[in-house]
Amino acid sequence: MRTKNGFNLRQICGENVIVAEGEENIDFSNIISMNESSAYLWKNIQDKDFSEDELVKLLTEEYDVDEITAKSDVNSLVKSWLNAGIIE
Amino acid sequence: MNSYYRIADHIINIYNDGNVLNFLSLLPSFIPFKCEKPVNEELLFKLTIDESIELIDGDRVHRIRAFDTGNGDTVVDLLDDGGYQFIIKNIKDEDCVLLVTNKDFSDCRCRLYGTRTMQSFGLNNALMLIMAFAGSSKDTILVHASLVRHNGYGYAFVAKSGTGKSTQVSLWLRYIPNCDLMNDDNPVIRLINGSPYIYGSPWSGKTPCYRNVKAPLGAITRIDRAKSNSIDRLSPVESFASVLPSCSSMKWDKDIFNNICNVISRIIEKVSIYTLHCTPEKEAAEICQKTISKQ
Repeated sequence: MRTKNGFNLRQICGENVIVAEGEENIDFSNIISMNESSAYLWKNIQDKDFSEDELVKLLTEEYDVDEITAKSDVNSLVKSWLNAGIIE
Repeated sequence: MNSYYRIADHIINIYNDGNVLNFLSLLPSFIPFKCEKPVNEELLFKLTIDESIELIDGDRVHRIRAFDTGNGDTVVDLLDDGGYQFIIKNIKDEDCVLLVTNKDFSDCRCRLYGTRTMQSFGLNNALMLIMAFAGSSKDTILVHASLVRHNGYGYAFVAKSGTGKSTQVSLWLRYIPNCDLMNDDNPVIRLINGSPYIYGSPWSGKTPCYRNVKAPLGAITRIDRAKSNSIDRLSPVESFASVLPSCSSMKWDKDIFNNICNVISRIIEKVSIYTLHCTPEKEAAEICQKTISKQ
């Protein structure tokens, strides 16, 4: 999997959002809100190929979370990113 | 011929080499904004009306898109020097102006076509577009809004065309004391020392309200037609998502888009953003005013 081009993380009054930019995203007008941990993951995988395993590794390195919980969280996060159309 | 205008406390210069065209008569809405040549102030942008420029094509251009503005298409091309070329058409699909800009819109040239009505339409729209994009690097944005002043503060109402921005503002003017109309279509917001101010402009849609006036921004409120009246204050993320689509922006230009997002972000740190669910009646304006008014 890979993050789509031009989906950049921004801070709005201290909150993390993804705002699409670039010619290929002219018709993408949604603003995606991100909590702290998903913003942390996004920063680390932006413009790179990534797998769910890598996301799990990133999460367990940074947060006090066991691997089983991290796997299930990553699984639902990736589904919601796919639904939002920000990864492919 | 060389004219200067002060819009949102920025100086703009329109220049026409020779006496072929008297452009002042094409810009009646700019009369209240006319000023003397400034002594020590930097220009926001310079627009030269130049009948000798030609459409750039071939390898030098990359077509971004033809955008339907509701008043005719605007064709946008990226140029190989980082600047842009725009062809602004009217509702009959006739070319009214060819506009060629540099990357930051500080130096622009245009060529006008057709009847005086077409030239006037083209020149006004070209200037609005340049103002929106040249302004972005100077903490200045154009917002599609109707703007009322109440007790010294400017209250902007945004919505898609036809939803009732102007209707809400006309209710304020009719039923709420100490109100006047500042602009009815495209006011300008500018951050000065971090504080947002909102200004009247030469662009006011169908309402001839071209006023060189300024007020601290009181609030921005999105109009949502509903069966009964209520108002919500938005979270920062909702605020950003509500204001961004109402501002003139160009997503395909990273620098300009980034500037506009930053300006919006700083506005919502200072000013509350609301959604007003409303009927087109007096009660809607009263509920709204009670909630959003600074005084």
